[in-house]
Amino acid sequence: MNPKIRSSILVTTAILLIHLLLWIPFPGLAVQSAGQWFSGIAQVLAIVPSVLILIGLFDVWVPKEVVERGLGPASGLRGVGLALLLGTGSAGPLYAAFPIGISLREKGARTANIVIFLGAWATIKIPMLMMESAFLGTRFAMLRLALTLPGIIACGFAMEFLLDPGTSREPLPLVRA
Amino acid sequence: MFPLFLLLAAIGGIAVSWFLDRGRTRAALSLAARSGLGLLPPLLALVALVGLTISAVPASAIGELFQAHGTVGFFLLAGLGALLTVPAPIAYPLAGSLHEMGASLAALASFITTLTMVGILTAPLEIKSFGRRFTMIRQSLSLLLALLIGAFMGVLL
Repeated sequence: MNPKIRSSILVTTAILLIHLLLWIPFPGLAVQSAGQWFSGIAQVLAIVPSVLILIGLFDVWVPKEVVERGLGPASGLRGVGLALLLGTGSAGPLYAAFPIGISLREKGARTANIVIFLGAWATIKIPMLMMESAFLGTRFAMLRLALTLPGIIACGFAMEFLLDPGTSREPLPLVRA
Repeated sequence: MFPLFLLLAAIGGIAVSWFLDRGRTRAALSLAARSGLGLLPPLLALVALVGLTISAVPASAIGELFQAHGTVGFFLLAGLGALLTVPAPIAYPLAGSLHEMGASLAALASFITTLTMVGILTAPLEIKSFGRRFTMIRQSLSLLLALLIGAFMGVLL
């Protein structure tokens, strides 16, 4: 059997076993946690397969040069903008962004842009701004956005400097633009 | 709504791709299947851990912890947010109810930021994708950013 399928079955068995053991002292907690697990898995299965298929299609159809030009070392400020746009335009949990990030990296996107993409995906969502305003106030939402946006971009370039100093020695996008 | 849109996009993509080039489409689908099977075990475990944490620690208990304003609540909330990673649509209502229970807005700003960007529970998945060094640096920088955002919000709000 495929080793990946076997480890999935192993993990599932372990989780069910843990819940069974938990059920003896805390039946309510075990039932609630198992329910959370099932609905969580359903949520994952509703999103992840479609994302993976789209990434697969992206992999075979979009040539490496296109990604490299758009998000690579020479992409400059436009690359940062594109990374932000890619991140904010999408929904779904952060782990759905990981495979997209890998595929972008394999196709030549620079580290700063991958980190900016992940950060934007995680915490800046244009449709979600309305929700944040509703729960915590418009002033709060706008202020947090204004602070997060430069923060994420700074994080991206700081990470690139730490992980692959070679790329960062090229002029910063602000200089080029 | 969003999953449905994604599914339609995936089906449409397959149809167009199949029409253009069957071989490439097969390659794309097998690529998708392989990465899906690789993601499955850590995803199963992650979802179970998150479910257990949410069930074991009720929101009202969290609220009581943070009724006290000030530095302790600030760091407690940031730390709690760093442990879990939840999608934004869950983070906002949670932050909203914590605000009603008396948590300060500055603390909630860093809570939302760590909640969505830093995840010690999702770290294994990120390490699998990008490596240990990338994950540790990204998460530490994001934590720092979250604390800074919270501090600035405290001054500005």
